[in-house]
Parts: sequence; C-alpha cells; structure tokens
Amino acid sequence: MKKQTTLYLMLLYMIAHPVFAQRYTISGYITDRVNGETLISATVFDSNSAKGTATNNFGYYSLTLPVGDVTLEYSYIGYRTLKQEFYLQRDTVLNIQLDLDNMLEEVTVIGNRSETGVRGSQMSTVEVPIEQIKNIPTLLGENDLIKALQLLPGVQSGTEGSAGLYVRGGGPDENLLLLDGVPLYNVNHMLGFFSVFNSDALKNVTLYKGSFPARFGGRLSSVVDVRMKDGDDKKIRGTASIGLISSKLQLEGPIIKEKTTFNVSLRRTYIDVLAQPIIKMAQDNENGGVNSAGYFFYDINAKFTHKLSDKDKLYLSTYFGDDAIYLKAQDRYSYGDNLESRDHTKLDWDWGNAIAALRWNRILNNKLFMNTTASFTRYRSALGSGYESETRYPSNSGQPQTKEETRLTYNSGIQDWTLKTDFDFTPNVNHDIKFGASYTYHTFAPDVISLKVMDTGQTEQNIDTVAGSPKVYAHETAAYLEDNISLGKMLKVNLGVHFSSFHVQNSNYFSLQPRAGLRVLLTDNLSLKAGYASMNQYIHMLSNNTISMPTDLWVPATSKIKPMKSHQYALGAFYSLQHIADFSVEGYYKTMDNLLEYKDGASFMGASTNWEEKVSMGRGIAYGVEFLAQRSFGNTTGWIGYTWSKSDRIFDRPGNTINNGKRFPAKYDRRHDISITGTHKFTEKIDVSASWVFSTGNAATFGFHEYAAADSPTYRHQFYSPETYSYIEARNNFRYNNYHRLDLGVNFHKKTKRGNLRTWNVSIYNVYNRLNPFYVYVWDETSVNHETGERKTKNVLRQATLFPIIPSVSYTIKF
Amino acid sequence: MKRAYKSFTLLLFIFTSCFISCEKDIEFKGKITDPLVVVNALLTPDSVVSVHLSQSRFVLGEIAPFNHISNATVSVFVNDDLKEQLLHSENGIYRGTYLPKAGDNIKIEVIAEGLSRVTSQTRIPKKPGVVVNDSTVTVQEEEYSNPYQPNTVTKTTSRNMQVQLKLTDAANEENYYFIKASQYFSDNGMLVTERTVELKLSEVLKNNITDNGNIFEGIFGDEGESDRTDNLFSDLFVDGKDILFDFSLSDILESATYVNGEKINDGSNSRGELTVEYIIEIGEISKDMYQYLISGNKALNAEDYGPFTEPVQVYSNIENGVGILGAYSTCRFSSRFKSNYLPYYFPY
Repeated sequence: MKKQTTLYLMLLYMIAHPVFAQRYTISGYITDRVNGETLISATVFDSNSAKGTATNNFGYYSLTLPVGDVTLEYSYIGYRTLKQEFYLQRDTVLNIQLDLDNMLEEVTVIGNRSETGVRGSQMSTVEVPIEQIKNIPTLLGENDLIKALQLLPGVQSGTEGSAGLYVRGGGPDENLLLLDGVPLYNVNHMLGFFSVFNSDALKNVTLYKGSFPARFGGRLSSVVDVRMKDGDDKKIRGTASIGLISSKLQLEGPIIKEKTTFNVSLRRTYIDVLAQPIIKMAQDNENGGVNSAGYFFYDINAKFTHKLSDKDKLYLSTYFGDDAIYLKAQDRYSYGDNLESRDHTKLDWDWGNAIAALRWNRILNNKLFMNTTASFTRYRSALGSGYESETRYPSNSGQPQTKEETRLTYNSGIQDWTLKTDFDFTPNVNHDIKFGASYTYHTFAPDVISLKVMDTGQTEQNIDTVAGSPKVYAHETAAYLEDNISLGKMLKVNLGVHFSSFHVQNSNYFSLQPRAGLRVLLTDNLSLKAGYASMNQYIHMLSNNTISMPTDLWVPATSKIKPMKSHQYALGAFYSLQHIADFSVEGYYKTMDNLLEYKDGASFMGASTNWEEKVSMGRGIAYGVEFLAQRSFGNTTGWIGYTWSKSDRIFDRPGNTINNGKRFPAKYDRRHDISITGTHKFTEKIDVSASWVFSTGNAATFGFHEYAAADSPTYRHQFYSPETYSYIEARNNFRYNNYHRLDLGVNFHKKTKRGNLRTWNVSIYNVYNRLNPFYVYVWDETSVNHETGERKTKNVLRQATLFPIIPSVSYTIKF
Repeated sequence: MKRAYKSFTLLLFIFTSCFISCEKDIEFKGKITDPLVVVNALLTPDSVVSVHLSQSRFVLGEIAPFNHISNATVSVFVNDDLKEQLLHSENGIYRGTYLPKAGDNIKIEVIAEGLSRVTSQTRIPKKPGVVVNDSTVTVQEEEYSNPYQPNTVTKTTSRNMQVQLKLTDAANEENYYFIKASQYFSDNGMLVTERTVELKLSEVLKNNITDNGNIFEGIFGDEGESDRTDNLFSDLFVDGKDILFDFSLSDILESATYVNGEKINDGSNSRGELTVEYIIEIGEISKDMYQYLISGNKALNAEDYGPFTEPVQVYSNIENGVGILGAYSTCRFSSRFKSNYLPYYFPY
C-alpha cells in the first residue's frame, strides 16, 4: 500500500514537473513591426515540444523549455507567422516584431487564439478584431463596439438601437465593461443608441460570457475587456473622419522615438451646431422663443506609454466623455402700455464618464511579470434648470415690480478609486499562474437635489434647500489565484478562486467564488471544453426598463438588498477548419440569485428615494445553446451565430412576489437569435459589408381581457370608483413580432499622391425598411358613420417603430 | 465653405426626414381566450348577500358593454353549509335573504351554462373596536377688518371639534382597515349636499409617532400616489396595539359683514339654518379586499404612467374566474350641529 502511494505521488510529481532536464526561459514582448504596438494574445508555439503560450494584455510572454533545439512560431491574427530556430542553452529575451500579412490565407488559425480557440482552456469567450468591428455597417455609420458584440451568440440587445447588453439571460447591469482594465459605469451615448467606445482608439476586445477566469469579478454575466492602442512608437499617424452626426480625429505617435508614445482620439457630434440656423428661423421674433437648443456628445481617449527601462513601462490611460442637452428660451409679453413681462428659461443637462489609470509594468524576472494599477472612474449626471420671470410697469420708476427666480439642480453618480496589483507567473511550461489583489473605494451619490427660489414680488418667498439621498461609501476588496495547467498534450485545466468582500454602512459581505475550466484536445483541430464559474455582484443599477436614461443610478447592496450571485456551467466543442473558419457550439446553464425586478406598478425615473421598496428580489434560471462559425482572416471575414435560449425569473419570496410567485420569462428572454455578419474585400479599392439579424420578439406584459371593477365602500368619492380593470394573466405574457434587419455598407478606398488613404463609406441601416417593434400598445379608434351619425370605437393593437431605412455616409482619411 | 455648409444642412434635412418614428396597426397573433366569469361582491354584516356577475371582454375589436350573466345558479354557503341560492334581480345582480354575521365564512359558487364553475370564499370581519377617547367642541367669535376696505368689519362664529378615536387592534392576526369622513348638509331633514372630508392618514395618525419613527410608515395603502386607497392601512407593525386617530374639524357657523356698523347681506347667510353632520367611518376589511383595492389602484396608476411602468396584475380571489369576494365591517361616529353659514361648495 505504501509502495503504491509512493508510486502515485511520483506519478503526480511527474505530471506536474514533467521535465527533469535543465530548463530555460524565453521571454519578451511581441509587437507590430511597423508601429510598435504590443500584440495581445499573440501565440508562441514550440513545434518540437508542442508547448506554447500567449502574450498577456501587455504583449509580454514567457515560455520555459528544456535545453535543446527549439523551433518557435510566433503568430498573431492578420500577421505573418515568424519562425525562430535556435539551441536553447540559457535564459533568453526575445522581443519579436511581426509583419502585417496581406496574404492572410497563410496564417495558421489554430495557433492564433490559443486561449479562446481549440487549444485554450478558456471557453465562452470571443475575440473580435477591431478592424472587423469597424467594418460592420451600423446606424448612421457610427461603428460601434457594443453593437458589434450584440451580434455575437449569447449576447442580446435590449430595445432597438440601444447599447444594452443582455448576456446569457443576464441584465444590462451585470456586465463588467473594462477600458484598459478600468470599469466604465455607463457606456451609452444618446440614450443608448451609441456606445462610448470610439473604435479608432481601440486595439483589442475580448468578451467573456462564462467560464470566467478568476482574475475577473464583480459582475454576474459578462466581462468586456477593451484595450486601447498604445500609440505608434516610430512615426506620427492619424485618422480623421466626418460622418452625418459626428466627426472624429485620432492621432498617435512617438514623443520620444521608441520610448514614449501617445494615442489621442476625439469625437464630437454636431447636430446641435447644424440645427442652430433652423432654430433661429423658427424663432418668433416678436415674443421671443427658443434662443438655442441642442444635444451633443463628445469623448476623448488619451493614452501615454513610457518605457522606463527594458523591464519597466508606464502607461497613463484616460477617457472623458459627456452627453449634453441644453436649451435657452426667452418670452416677452406686453399688455398694453402698462405692463411688460419677460421670462427666461435655461436648461443644462449633462452626463458622462471619466476614467484615468496609471499603470506600471515590471518584469520582475523572466518568469514573473507584475502590473500595478491605480485608477479612478466616475459616472455622473447633472441637471441644472433655471427660470427667471420679471414683470415691470413702465410708468413707474423703472424698477422691476416683481421678480421670481428658480434654480433647480439634480446631481447623481458613482465614483471609484482602485489600487490593484496583478502578477503573471510562469514557473514552467505546464503552469501559467496569475494572482493579484485589489481594493476599491466606492462613493455612491444616488441623487442630490437643490432648489433655490427667490421671489421679490408679492409673496416675498425665498427657498434654499437641498434634498435627496446622502452619499454612501463602500469598500470592496478582492484577491484571486488562477493556474492554467497543462496535463500532457490532451488535457488542460484552468483552476482558480476569486475572493471578494464588500463593506457598506453596517453590512459586510464576503464571497469565495471557485472557477474551473477543462479542455480535452481530441485532435489538433478539435477539442471539448467544460467550465464552471461562480460570480458575485455587490452593486445594482436602477434604471428604466425600456431605454437607457442618464438618470440610471448605481446603488450598493444594502442590509435589505443582498448581493447578486450566479453559478454558470458550460460545455462545448470547438473545431478549427484550417484556412477556412473556427466553429464552436456551447451549451450553458446558469442560475442567478438575489436578482432585482421592479414590483408591479413600480417605475423608476431617477430618484433613489425608497428604491428598496420599489424592487423585489428573486431568482433567475437561464440556459441555452450557442453556435458560432467565425472567420477572422482572408478577404472574406465575418461570422454566423445562432442562439437558442431561455431565461426565466422566479420571485416567490414572501413580500417579494411577482406574478403571484409563479415562474415567468425575463423581459429579454428570446428563443432564437441569429446573426450573419460578413465583410468581403473585392480589391484594394472596394470592400463591402453586410449584417443580418433575426430574433424572437421581446416579451411584454399585456392585459387582453378587461372586466368590471367592484365599487368599494372605501372609496371616498364616487368618481374614484374605477369602471374596468385589465386582466393580466402573467408577467411578460405577450411577444412582440419577430425582429429582423439587414444592414449594408460599402467602402471606397483611394490612396492619395501623398500616400494617405481616403475612404468613403456608404451605409444603409435596415435596408428593406422592416418596421420592427419598439413598443406595442392598445389604441382606441373611433369612426363615425356620416349617414347615421353613429360613432363606433374599437381597440386595435398598434406598434411603434423607431428606425426605418436610414442611409448614411462618412468620409475618412488616414495619414 | 458656405456652399458646403448648405449642402450639409440639406443632407441633415434628408436624414432627419428619414429618421421618424412610424406607427402601424398590427394583427394580434396570440390566442383569443374565452371570456372569464367576473364575480364582484363585497359583503358586510346585516346586509343581504349581493353578487354581481358579468363576463370579461376581449380588449381588441369593437368596444361593447360587458355581458351580464343572468342565468347562473349562485349558491351561498355559510360555514360550509348551503344557506341559499341567490335570485337574479337585474343587470347581473343576484341577491339573497341571508344577513351575514361577523365571523361567518361565506363561500359562493357560481354555475352558469357555457362558463366555468367558479368559487370563492371570504370571512366577514368583526366590527373594529373603536371608542371615542376624547372629544372637545369650542365655539369662538372673531372679528377682523379688511385692510383694503376701510370701515368694513367681518364677524364670524366658528366651531372647532377635536375628536380622538381609539382603535384597538386585535392581536396575533392580520387586520386591514379603512377610514373616511364625510360631511352632510340637510335643510329641514332633506339632504342638500355632501362632501368628503380630506384626510391624510399620516395627519390623522400623528399621535402614533414613537421614538422609533412613525409606526405606520410603509403600511399605508398608497398615500401620495392616488386618492383611491390612501385611506387604507394594515396592522403590520401595530399588531395588538391601540391606534389613535385625531381629527380636527372646523366650520364657520355664522358670518356677518358690517360697513360703518351696519350689517350688509353678503349672501353667506341667505339660506337660513342648516343641519350639518359629520360621519366618520372606521372599517375593517378582509385581506382579499385590501389586496384587490391596492393592486387595482396600482394598475390604474400604471396605465396612467404609460410604458415606463410595469403593468400590474389586479389581485383576485375568484377561482376559475376573476373579480373579488370581499367583506367589511364598519363603525360610524357622527356629530351634528346647526349652522347659518353657507360654505363655498354649497350648491346655491
């Protein structure tokens, strides 16, 4: 027995430490040869030992191999694979520069996406090349990261045009949207029709829908990890574009060649500027009217990178973005010769995000990489309105007889200060360990309203008051450990644990969240994967159910409202058909607890007062199957995605019941979702793109029967007594019509004599003018018989559509 | 540049003309379900059992009146014993002869040809234990001058009644209450007009505020949302306790205006002496009735608020049908006095 145990332990040791020979580490950065941009998830593969690794988010890799001949293949999607053969006899630093490859068919697909493709242990994860996102035709020609992600299987949009993400049956507040590792709380511009991500500034995006690595936490349903470009380290480049509603400018380049770089992107809409002449024309000169009014949004992305030494790098990433609505109006009235009055109205409403992150990368040794980040993120909404009214009698002294001033401001928001450290440790070729810790100081400012009223007229009333919810402070800490373990060629396991704690007011919450992933490589092109992830979320977003409003509020878990929790299990098969496409099919089953839903009759319009009374806590169950065929290289790229899914809610806790405690479909439960997206490059001068989406209609609650109401003796007036009530069988008992839409885009490219690339883009959104449902309601139509005078009223079901066919055009120049 | 600007503005116009919201009538593709039997009955002690039966109607299509059910067999069971079958009088109203008593468990069964058999039951609540804890009436004469009309003096005689009622909530049981007050004006025994006295529960119950805050916080029906149910409350946090209701009811009994010492007729006393009566009602209602009223009010409010509010399912305790079988029991307090003053709401 003792002998058996010894043998078993030896076997285990051999699995964990298969190489007894002397081993050395090859490490370094993989970058683009032309602009020096680090490449994320580029792969390094030794064909002799069949071992490999991938670069981290900073383009760094570390691979430990036994002494001897190595044949390293460095590859990255869209780049020519680079082969390095040498005899490994000491620790070696190899910084690799890859060339863009126009002959993209030659790229080996398998090796390119080691963590998310066939060979990686990571599942439920999709990487979409930024260039592909830029080519997807979109509303008003504004290419949009979030809209592109909505086309992936397992991801659903909310109402038409909105930027909300509903991932695997989760809600829109259950997504961790990271820009250079810093959370963004509101990713919407223009009520959600556009997102805050300016694709010109971006380098890489990865969407995790499940099987979350232990380094991520804090949200239940997805992580969208967006990385900004560092900036060209050799020469100054840029892109400028003019679209129907906005213009963009992006500049990048070296400040100190190959040492310090910058990347700055600006975007602003100008509907407000163009509309001013129309507003002026519409103005009533006699009595005043609207002086100016408009809406705009802007965003600025800026990133600076400085190489302190071969081992140290500093990054400063910032983002500022705002939406603003403004109005100034004036009315003048004269009443004969005696009385004159003037009214001034002013409204300013702006909301937006600001983030800043200072990051320090250090290669502690060739096996240990450290990244320390101090960051700040803030979302705030500020509404200011003022009203002035003056009435004067010209026959008197000329002094105003009465003057009334009202000033109202409404402020809300959330801000976080975070300090975190992450380590990548590669002790040997079979282990890729990541560990780290973070601390976040949250400040929730749900809503503060201040009102000032000065009345120097008859009432002489003065009010100066502040109301609303006080600020709430919370401390969130997290620590994680994960190991990507290779157990021979066939098996790969990712094991991890994420610990977090949340302290708010007098409540403390702790959570230990295990994570696991398994890959079984059946052939070089085929693997099976399984994953499990437990997640916890300590913050909630209170929002209107239909559309993203700037008044959406983030609030913390409280003693009454518990943190949300989820458990997700996934199983999938991955197949790569070399030189053609990658295929995957995944099934998932997810349970969610402490989810929030609005109680019957509750409405949220931006006030956090008594918000706990307006919501109920319950459970959710979501499951489905997703199919994805993706081609990311060659002249034809794109994907076909299909999702069959179901997402239900159960709110049966005493005092929290919805739908009488019975199970009901979630608001965005959709049985079928299909998306087909493709781009084809005909020549260097012309490429076309198209996307077609189909989804089952949204669920809505309707009462299709009405019945007589009882007259109660408790009513204090006869006219309080209602005549009818609607009979609602169940929540979300009705389905809107199915949604489908085709978008097309064409790009015409031309190189100028100076070598700049000019591109005209023509896009058509909703090509066949499908009138998709945005909102459905019951409408009563009255008709009159002109002969008899008889009036008849009938109720009909009416559908409102937001976007019919919308063409757009934009012009871009790259220099 | 100017030309480019004009072109762009034109383009913007084209774009905005495309960017309009479209609406169209659509076909209902769901299943049109059969009409439901609607039972509405609110029972109270010492009044015969009366039930209104009708059918629900599909909401789309021509709006027609509700179909009353006149051919049903409506059986009344009291404490599980068949007591009687109600007779149809008119417009779907069925009446019996039995006078329910507090504590009775009343079950109603409706069988009508072509419709589902529906049943429901309720318990008749007992009269709430309410006593007058304190009552004070003061009559006061006042005189004031009008600063804008010299030599004019108005003399009024006013009456103020302070009443404190005490409701003793029954312990260890869920109780639901309503309160309302009305004022009636009669002339020689004939009712001339009536009005509802506006009461805010939070005002009436102000003496129940404890060191821990208002003990009624969060248990009012729907105060602040609508007038339909803001006079309902539960005993959720006051189980078995005494609840004090404070009313302050003021009226002018007489008013006269004098100019230079001479009484003028301003119309407020021209009718002669009236009898004024206040009636305060405090009633206990069944839980089903409370839930029906609260959810019904929320449903109507949700309809008013439009698409940004979750629609509300109105509570029903009718098995295989819809509507309410509820019960209530009321205590009444009245105060009567004579007045020579006609308030502004008095119909001339």
